[in-house]
Amino acid sequence: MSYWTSLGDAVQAAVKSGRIGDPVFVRCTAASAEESGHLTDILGELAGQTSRWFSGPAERVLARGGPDEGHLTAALEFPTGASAILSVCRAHGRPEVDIVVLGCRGAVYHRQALVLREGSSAHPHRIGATFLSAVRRSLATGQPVQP
Amino acid sequence: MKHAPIGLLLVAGRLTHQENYGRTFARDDRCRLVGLTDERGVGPERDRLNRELAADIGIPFLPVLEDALARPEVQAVCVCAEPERRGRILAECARAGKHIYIDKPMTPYLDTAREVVEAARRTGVFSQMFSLVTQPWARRAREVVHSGIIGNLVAVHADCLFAKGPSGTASLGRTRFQPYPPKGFTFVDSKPELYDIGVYAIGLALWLTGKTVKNVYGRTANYFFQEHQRNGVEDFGFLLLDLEGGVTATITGGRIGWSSHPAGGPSQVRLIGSRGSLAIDAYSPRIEVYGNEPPWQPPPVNPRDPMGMWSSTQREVDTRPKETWVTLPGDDSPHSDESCFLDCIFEGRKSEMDVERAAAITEAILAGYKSAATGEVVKLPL
Repeated sequence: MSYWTSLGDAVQAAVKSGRIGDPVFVRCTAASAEESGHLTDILGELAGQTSRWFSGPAERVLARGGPDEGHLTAALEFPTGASAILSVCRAHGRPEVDIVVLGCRGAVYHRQALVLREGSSAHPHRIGATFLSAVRRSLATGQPVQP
Repeated sequence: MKHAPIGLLLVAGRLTHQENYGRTFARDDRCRLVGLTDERGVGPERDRLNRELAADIGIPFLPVLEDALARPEVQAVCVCAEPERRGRILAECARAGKHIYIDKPMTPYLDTAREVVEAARRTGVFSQMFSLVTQPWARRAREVVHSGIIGNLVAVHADCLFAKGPSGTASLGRTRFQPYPPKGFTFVDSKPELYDIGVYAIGLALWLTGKTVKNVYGRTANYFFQEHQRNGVEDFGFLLLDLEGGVTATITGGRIGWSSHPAGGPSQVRLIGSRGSLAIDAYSPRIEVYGNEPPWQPPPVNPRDPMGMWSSTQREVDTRPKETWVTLPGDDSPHSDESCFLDCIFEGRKSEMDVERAAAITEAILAGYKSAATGEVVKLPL
């Protein structure tokens, strides 16, 4: 099982258990891209996992950064009012992922230094083309867009 | 060289952060507390709370601000009046030539912020708004930036979330309506938390980068508390800031509930550089201590302060400290923010969180509210 899959499943189980109440906000910073070309894929992976925890895709996206800048950040808003800030940057040999999932009655925390290539690539089936297209449009216009 | 202590005046009393700042100043032998005062006509409840804190600290209560400011022995003022009144009092103090120590945020009104900046500039007084930038972990973050070990800074992500209040009561499932300009800053049972707590994270981002804000995108939400929802203020918010030089900053600010964190709540920055990245937080490095004592429990709700804002009201309900995380003592000796303000006065240097930076933070927050109201990216200056 990949790192992202096991992490996504663990958070999903915590959310489903009801211990933190309804999930309302995700803050994730993944310093895990081996090269700039991986930033977009990992952002797509994070967005896919976040959508799963929130039971549906984002309806609005604002993105900043890009491969040339060495980081990519996206603010996501969901129809339920939930939101997320997802950021990916290059690992520079010290891959690390930091996730906070706030629920209305609690929170899930995960800060993990990764080993070797864990987290350096994304699951190809979870990278939503629609989401990534929205990220590209937002980067081009500087404005929030609908996926 | 030892200087004579400066005369310091306190404005506003109990159920403000003067409960903390006033006592800290009282312990510093570089200042002498002249008394506690406030504006005329503050109302019987505020008047009573002011007199109570003056008695608690053991200093005279001086009923009229302008008379107190006219005393020649007063050289500095610590102002903790409610947000709606704070800015105009600060401007009055600065115009009177008094150095000003300011509860955060400085003011929710941009014209008032500019008035304070202008008054301080004209009279040349020193000023400082309470912030996190004097804390050892924040100083470490800035050392990292200045050292160049992560290359050029391209992004900063800062979080300040308070693990306080009985959460789980907000009505979820809809996007919050954000009024602009925002309405209402003072309630017994809530505060607009992007304003009140987000100020710390914005302050860190601007101080760490030394950059000005070009554009702001913001959202506010009611995720945790029915009290905030009822009063029409947010319990959570985030901003995405475009800073000069192409640097991106994101910040979160909010109150997230007593049981949402093993300590006081997430308080951290992640620095993204062209050659590396680093996360630094208020609780690292730390040890974790576990024993067979009963687990920490949230305090009973104090109707005078359900969200745990003030020291005195939390003592009334015997709020226990969370003791699992114990931060390692560092080389940097604890140096309070108040003490740093006195350093600035005695050393004749500008504070790193002076009224100009405080005004820039007010503008960024207001732009965030405007963005949350319109759904658009807002350009500065407003």
